[in-house]
Amino acid sequence: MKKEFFDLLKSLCEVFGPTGCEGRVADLIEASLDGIPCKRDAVGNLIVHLEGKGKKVLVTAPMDEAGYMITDIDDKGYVRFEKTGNADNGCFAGKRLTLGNEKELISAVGGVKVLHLAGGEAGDTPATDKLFAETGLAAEELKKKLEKSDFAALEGSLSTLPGGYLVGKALEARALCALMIEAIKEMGSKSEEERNDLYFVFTVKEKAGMSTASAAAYSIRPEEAYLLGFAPANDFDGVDEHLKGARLGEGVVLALKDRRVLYFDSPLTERALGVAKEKGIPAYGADMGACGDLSAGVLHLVGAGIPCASLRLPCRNPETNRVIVKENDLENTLSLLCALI
Amino acid sequence: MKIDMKILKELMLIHGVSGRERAVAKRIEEMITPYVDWVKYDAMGNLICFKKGSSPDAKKLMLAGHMDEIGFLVTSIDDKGYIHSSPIGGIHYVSAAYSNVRFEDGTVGVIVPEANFGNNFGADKFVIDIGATSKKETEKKVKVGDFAAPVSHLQHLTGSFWSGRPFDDRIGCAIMVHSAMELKDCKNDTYFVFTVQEEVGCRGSKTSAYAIMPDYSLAFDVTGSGDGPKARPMAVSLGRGAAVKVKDSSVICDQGFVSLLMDLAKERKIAAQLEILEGGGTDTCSMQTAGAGSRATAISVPTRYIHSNNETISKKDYDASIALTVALLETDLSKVEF
Amino acid sequence: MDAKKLLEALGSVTTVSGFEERGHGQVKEILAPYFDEIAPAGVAGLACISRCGKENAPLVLIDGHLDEIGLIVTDIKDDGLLTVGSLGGIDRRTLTGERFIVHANEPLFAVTVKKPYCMMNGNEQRKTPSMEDLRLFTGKTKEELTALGVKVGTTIGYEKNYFSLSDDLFFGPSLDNAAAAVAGTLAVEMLKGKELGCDIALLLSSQEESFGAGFKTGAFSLDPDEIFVVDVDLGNTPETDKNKTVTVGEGPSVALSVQTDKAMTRSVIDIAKAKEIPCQPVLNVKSTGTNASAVPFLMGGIPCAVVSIPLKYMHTPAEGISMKDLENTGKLLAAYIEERYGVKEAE
Repeated sequence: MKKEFFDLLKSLCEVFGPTGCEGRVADLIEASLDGIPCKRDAVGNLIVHLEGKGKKVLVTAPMDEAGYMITDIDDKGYVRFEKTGNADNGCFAGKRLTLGNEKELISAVGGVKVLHLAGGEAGDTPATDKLFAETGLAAEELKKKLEKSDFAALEGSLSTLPGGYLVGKALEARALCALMIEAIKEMGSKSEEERNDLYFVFTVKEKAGMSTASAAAYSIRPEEAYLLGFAPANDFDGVDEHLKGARLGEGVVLALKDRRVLYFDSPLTERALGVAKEKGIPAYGADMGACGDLSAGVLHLVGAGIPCASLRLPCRNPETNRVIVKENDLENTLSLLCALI
Repeated sequence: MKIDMKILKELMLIHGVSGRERAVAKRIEEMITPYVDWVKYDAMGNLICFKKGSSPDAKKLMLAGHMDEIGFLVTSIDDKGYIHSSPIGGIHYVSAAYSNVRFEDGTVGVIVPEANFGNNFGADKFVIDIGATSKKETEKKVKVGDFAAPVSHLQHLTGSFWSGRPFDDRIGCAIMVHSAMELKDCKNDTYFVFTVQEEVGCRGSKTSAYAIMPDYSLAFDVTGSGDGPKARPMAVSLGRGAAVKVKDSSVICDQGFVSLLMDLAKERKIAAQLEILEGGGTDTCSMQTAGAGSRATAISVPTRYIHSNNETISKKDYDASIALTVALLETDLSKVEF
Repeated sequence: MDAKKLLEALGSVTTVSGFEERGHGQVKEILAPYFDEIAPAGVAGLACISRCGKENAPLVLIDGHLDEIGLIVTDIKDDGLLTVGSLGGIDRRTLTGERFIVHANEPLFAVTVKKPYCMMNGNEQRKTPSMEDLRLFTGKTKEELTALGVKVGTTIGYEKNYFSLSDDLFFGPSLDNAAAAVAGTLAVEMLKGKELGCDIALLLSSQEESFGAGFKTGAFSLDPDEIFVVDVDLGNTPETDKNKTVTVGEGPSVALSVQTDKAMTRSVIDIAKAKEIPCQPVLNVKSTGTNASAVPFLMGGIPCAVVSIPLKYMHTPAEGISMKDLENTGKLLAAYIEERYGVKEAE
């Protein structure tokens, strides 16, 4: 993996951007585009348009990471939360958090009722209203910087493990942003004659099910849409084969079905699998079960309907502070995306 | 060395519920006396056999295997002659149901659940039927305070596998007896201790370990395995050799001693595997914590269906355990660096 | 002496419960400057001794357990993932997405993995994953792991990251019970240069978090005249019962319990008052949940008091204490020892 790409991924991984507070991610992406023009729409999506003579194609990737909204700051400075998406409360206690808004960022520690007093609760995933965090600041001081409706996300950095694995926070979204930036750069180097009319949308609030890509799609009215997403992996020795989900290192996943969309009847899915085979890029179709790519759910119903394909990056531990992806899956996803658009 | 099942079988067939180990002890005493310097009993009934070590700085090594087995204590006899009992040790009532039990005097009965026991497999739902029709008739043979145990037996299955009861822990006793017999050069001051009342809380090993205050201690017992039908995951399998204990639910063993045994096994080409037992304790813990403490671990024989009427083992593991024990006894522990 | 630095240094030593000997060398090196001698005591324990120079002097034992909670490899699966069990009461609610270090021939980073939350059904989502549901992922294959010495029984510990959220609040793994070792060392430091009629032994005992083998055997071998068990105590946070916790920042807690000696405990509290050292007497009626549980069974009977440092988020990778509390714990121990064993100049 090129150092530039690792550095890009690292900065995207570390930046604070829970659902509803993606400004910093968008800023970082804009800065990484090497001057390729982009604009933000009314909801905060970042859009890059590369004009071309071919058909109108939309590509999307989500910017937001799993997070919480602050619901209270008590007299002792303890902070309470509500989920903004589908965060796993099992990944909170004893973890370092960042609390913040578009201006402030404050370090914190996540807590639950201590094990020794938890009794039967110790075997349960803590309920959201039982979670709290502390920042070390007195309540008064803290309230000057943060207020209800500000945000919280897990803290984390990017590291590697042997065997070509990357471990980091929010990779199930930010790795896709990084791939899309790479795709934009690659397409940007081509002339208008050689390429399709490409719209790349980095979306906000995906984990809250807001499907803001549909807003973009509504005005763009693309002929084809490729949605980048993640495929959860449960590919451990001892798990029944049919429950393993995606498998790290075995290529790009083309979602066949998820909670909101039937992709298997989409001509684009078939095409994607065909192109992958032709180019020798490992790819396989898989049922995503209840794991929805929330954008597509609305997108494929926009206007008169838009044909969609969903390219998924296999991830272990998605939506935790330590998401695991494999380098060759990243490479294959990028190659297939570029080949398709 | 060629080990047959004779000594093990003989020890298995002797009656010896926790607290009533005397008959087992007597037989072991007869077997082991020619091979050790002296034998004695302590106040609790532990059989302590000593063999002097040849090393000039001989360390004290305590070996412990428990003589007791799980069983039933008669608590009352009803008008119809049925015997009510309470469990001694971890009785597995699913296994006990409709099986034969034997009293110390040889009287045989069947232990059965009441007709409508539902899902309750507790002691209060079980009676022992010896075929008597009245309290008076029963009392001619059995009285309150008598002990019964599931009938012991041993049979060969396929290949190296044997099933029977109680392997727990007559197999530990048999390993120690064979080791004493096979031993050529005893390097350490070795105490072969056959303990009482392990099944009710490792009691015998507490007093004997306190009296001996060993430098090193090694328990012999059975352990579970991960290869039974839908067994709880465990990296121990029957037939893969003596299991050297790393941890169970009462003790974390001495890492140096564990490594020493594993290295010895490798060197002598004795099959051995590492064991972590998630549920169950052994005499190891009381030996580890006696006085100022000792370096402790255990050699376990992987066993399926522990505490049932058909505990199952592989003879390969039994053989390996004896070989490994002899190898240890012939190792001068005063020269080993930890 | 920089207490924070010492705390971080001791906390960073690998001393997973039952496998403390691995850290003995480092601990000795860190504590050597503060004590006259450091020697093994009992099962995998270390006794750090400060002598008064008088013959047959009584011995005050300060017990601070050396061990920390951790994990142990129970199997290496064919895909190279490790199944693990816990050593000590690890809080399973903190294990998702956690980074650990496998203590192989060389330290290996490992990340916990489990079935993705979004693949779980409602019931699975509501339950904390069991140890059997978790795997540790190192990126290495089974063969590579075996070659690196990973086997059944290999220990795994938290990655040691320490941080402050204010001047006073200090966080990180294994402050339970590195904080106690620091408090004991502080006390010995504070007593330096004072003439005492007693020796002091800081017993860093093993297995407090698991089976308690270290304290029983260590205390037996040292044969002390008085015992302080120093541990950490549950600090209150939202969701905890005020009556079952103490407050971080308000001084060490002193346990009132059937397991402790009433007169000695009373005297500790009185001395704290007289010297204006903040302390929080706390009721642990039947059990202190510390090594003091073993004191009633120890030899011929030894007076014992339990002094603890309030700590939040116990048994998570972000345990938190107040540095002021830590210093006051040291002060309180020193004040008691000086009051009781100090040699007063003849007037």
